[in-house]
Amino acid sequence: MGKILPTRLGLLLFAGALAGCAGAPPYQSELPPNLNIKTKLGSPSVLLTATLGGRFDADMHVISVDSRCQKNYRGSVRLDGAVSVGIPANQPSYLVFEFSGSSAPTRGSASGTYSTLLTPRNGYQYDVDVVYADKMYSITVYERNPRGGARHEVERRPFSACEAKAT
Amino acid sequence: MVAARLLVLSTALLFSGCGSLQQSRTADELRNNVKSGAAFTSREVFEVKKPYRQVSDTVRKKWMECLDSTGTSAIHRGGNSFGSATNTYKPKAAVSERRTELTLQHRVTGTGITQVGGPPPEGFFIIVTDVYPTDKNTSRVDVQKHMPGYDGVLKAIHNWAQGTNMSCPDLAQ
Repeated sequence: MGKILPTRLGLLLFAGALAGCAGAPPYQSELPPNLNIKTKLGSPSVLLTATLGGRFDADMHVISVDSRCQKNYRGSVRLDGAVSVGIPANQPSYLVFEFSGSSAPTRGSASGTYSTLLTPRNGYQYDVDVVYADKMYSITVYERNPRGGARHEVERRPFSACEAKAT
Repeated sequence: MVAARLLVLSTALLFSGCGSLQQSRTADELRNNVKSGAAFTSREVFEVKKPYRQVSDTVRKKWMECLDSTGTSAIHRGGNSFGSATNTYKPKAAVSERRTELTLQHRVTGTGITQVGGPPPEGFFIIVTDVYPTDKNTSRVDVQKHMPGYDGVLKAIHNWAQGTNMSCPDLAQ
């Protein structure tokens, strides 16, 4: 074992290559915006700041889900401040939020994801608060009736909640 | 972030390369490994002044919501050769009147990465959290771990149980 540890650690500690969603196609939709995302990001490490050549980003990957619960990736949205996009009403979309960091000094990168299945109702707006601070994050989805109704939190639904419909 | 992830990855590889450092394939095996003081195990027990049902409901909900996660880490294999490892986490919960058992399994996949030692399909058990009622208004939370790192998960369990902060830990940290 004595020889295994240094060798493998050596390989791993020379980590490199950008992972995550660099180059991911942007999500494009002509639908009226119904998903409004506000993001506040605090870098988890000084190594992931631009000052030291690193970066830390948040993205939302939009995946449409058909009646047989099959996924179809539609594109990604870089989350930075406030952004609004349109996703189809009355059909499920699988939203995958990804936090990814890369560090120039160690040439390493890592990312983590959080996902939820959302079926927007026609005519409703959905506000998403994304906060990342101190290596912890919260993602809260609210449904809002634009005709004066109060907004309420929408519970996260895992993909396993998708129910295939007989065609 | 990167260094912590690499530590976990390298530990996973160390486990895979050394038969004497067997990872846990069931929740009970993890508890036994912690009890016997196996390498990379730890345990933390704390009490919360809240009824069992309340603590169980909150911690279970957040456990399932936050820890169902996938992450990637880039690996430099030497020269111009790069690869990536995918970390998949599978949380599960079993609730009864007397105990809430929460388990977290971890699987590493990627080109050239093999988790030997017979990992279960959804990965080795790395954290087991048990919540028990101690009396009408107090609950005990017992967190047992068989993997270094994951301090953020421990912090989050404290927060969820005490109801102070519902944020999720970033498992890529």
